[in-house]
Amino acid sequence: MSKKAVFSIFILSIVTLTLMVIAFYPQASKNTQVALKKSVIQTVLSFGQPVIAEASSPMSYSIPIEISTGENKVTAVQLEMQYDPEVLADVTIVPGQFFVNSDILLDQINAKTGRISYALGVGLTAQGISGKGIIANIIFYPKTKIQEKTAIQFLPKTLVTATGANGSVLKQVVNGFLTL
Amino acid sequence: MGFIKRVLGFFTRPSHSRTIGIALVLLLGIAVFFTVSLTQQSQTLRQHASSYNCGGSAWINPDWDCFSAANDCNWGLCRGASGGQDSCQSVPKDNGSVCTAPDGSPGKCTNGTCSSTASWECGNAANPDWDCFSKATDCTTGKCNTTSHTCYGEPKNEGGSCNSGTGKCSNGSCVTNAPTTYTCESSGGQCIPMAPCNLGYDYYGTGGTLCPSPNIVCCMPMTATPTIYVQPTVYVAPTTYIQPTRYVAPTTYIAPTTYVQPTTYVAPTTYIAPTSYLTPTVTPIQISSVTLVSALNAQDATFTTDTIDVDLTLYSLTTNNQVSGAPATQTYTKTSIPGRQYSTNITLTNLASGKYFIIIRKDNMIAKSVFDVSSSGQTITVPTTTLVFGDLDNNNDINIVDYNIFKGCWKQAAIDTCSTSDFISGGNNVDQIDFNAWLKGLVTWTKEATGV
Repeated sequence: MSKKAVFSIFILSIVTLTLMVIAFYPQASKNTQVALKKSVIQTVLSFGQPVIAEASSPMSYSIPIEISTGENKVTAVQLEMQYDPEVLADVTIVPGQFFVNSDILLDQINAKTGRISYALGVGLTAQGISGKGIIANIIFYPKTKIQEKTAIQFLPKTLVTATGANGSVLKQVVNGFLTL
Repeated sequence: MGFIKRVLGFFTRPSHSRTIGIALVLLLGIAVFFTVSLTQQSQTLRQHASSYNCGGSAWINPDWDCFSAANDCNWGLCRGASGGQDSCQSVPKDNGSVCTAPDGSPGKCTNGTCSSTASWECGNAANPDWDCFSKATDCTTGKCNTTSHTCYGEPKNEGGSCNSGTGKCSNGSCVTNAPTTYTCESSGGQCIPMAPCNLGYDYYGTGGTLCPSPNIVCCMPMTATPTIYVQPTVYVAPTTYIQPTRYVAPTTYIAPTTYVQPTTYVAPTTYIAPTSYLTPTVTPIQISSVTLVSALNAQDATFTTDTIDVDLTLYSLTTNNQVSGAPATQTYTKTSIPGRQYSTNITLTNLASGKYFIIIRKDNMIAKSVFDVSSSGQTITVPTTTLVFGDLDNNNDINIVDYNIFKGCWKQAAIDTCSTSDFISGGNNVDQIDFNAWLKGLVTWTKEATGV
């Protein structure tokens, strides 16, 4: 084979490869965009139906904190909440059933300021979980016997993390307003 | 004729180089075809995108173009008739979503419109029954009539025990149990049945004992009629007559002072409520310099050097932004005080009065302090703070986002991106010791310098 033929083959190969790359490159970037779309934030935290936790006197109540993850595979939840310490007393939090064997990462409740910092994770070896369920329950006693309206609010530092997400996947919180 | 023979010969007598040449030409043709067709398709999409109201930009989420179509009761979504995304539409949120009514009162959404809920007894909360705890008893559940927005008690626990076991539920009411036992300890007298006694509290019976069990009828004995009147035997006269003391007349009569008729009654003028209130504005004072007296402890690590150099980042809690005014680096000097390993004085300059917090970073450990700046020349001593592990995403905060990063490195070799998760270098992997360090860091971080 002559040197001219070899050179022609080489040039044609380069041109062909270049054209193939140009032809298929937009397709690759489109796939990347689809992958990013799938990791959007979809998790919602809200309060469920309050129930009587202990029918003693005074009566204690339990309010479930519900989670709806959408397609997110949730690995941990950090609840930063505020309640009125003049209305609610002996506030405690216990984990719900959403994480089967949850790791309690943080459990700090300031009865003077009414600030709750509570975090729990799915466990270091477990996979992220998606679906709906109860992430935790808040238990408290009403401080006064007078009928009173109050609220338990999520603070902006409330976070939800998920597999494959770099930041929080918390889309929305619904605060709880209740009349005791 | 000769040309045809040469063409036929080209195919009937193939050589190696000819075959490769033909293959390359075919490959080139295919590549040209793909390039032209995909370029045309791309051009068509670009033309279509330029006519979009939304979804045609570089947003990952096309709905981001549609914030203008959103309000309290509607999502702003990018929608198109053929399934494409080229027009912003207001799509109603779920009925019952919380909103602010046009008059400023709290409201709820109904088919995309916000109606005031100010006069509702219930139904404002996410769960309408939450407003109706007042109707909850042993025999009823507090429920909300979502049509009239009034509370009512829904009967429950029919036939069950209520009022600490003294009654039974019947159609939402607690009916007191009939007394099961009647015991009267009176002997010789008559008894008036009283109300059922309360266990351990009310006295019952003539013996005055505490109520031994609930619902026993209390019994108050009547006084027995005396049988015989006993005549007093002897009248005993009083022994000594005591003379009353002398009457002393009052010394001087003081006449009441003159009564002064009140002057004309002036009716109060009408109070005119202000139409608007001016929001007070606080003009921050410019502070030329203050001195922050800072002391550091360290988590699970002992620095052996006499000094450590740290990086500082200052944030204003008034503007919620990072601000200048603190030196980028600072040297802390070792102390001999336990739990207060290093200390320094940090000079902060050109600050507005207000609340600040400062992040102190030493390699992969961070600490924070919160303080108020109010006057120039001020010396501010903040509580000793702890340098802790855990800020894996390097954003000057420790939270579950860092946990998520740590989880991804669990039991992995402490190299590359996982090298920062190996807080306590005891081995080659990210292990339980590192997780304990992270947990301790999170707890300390959350507990210290609250209010950020």
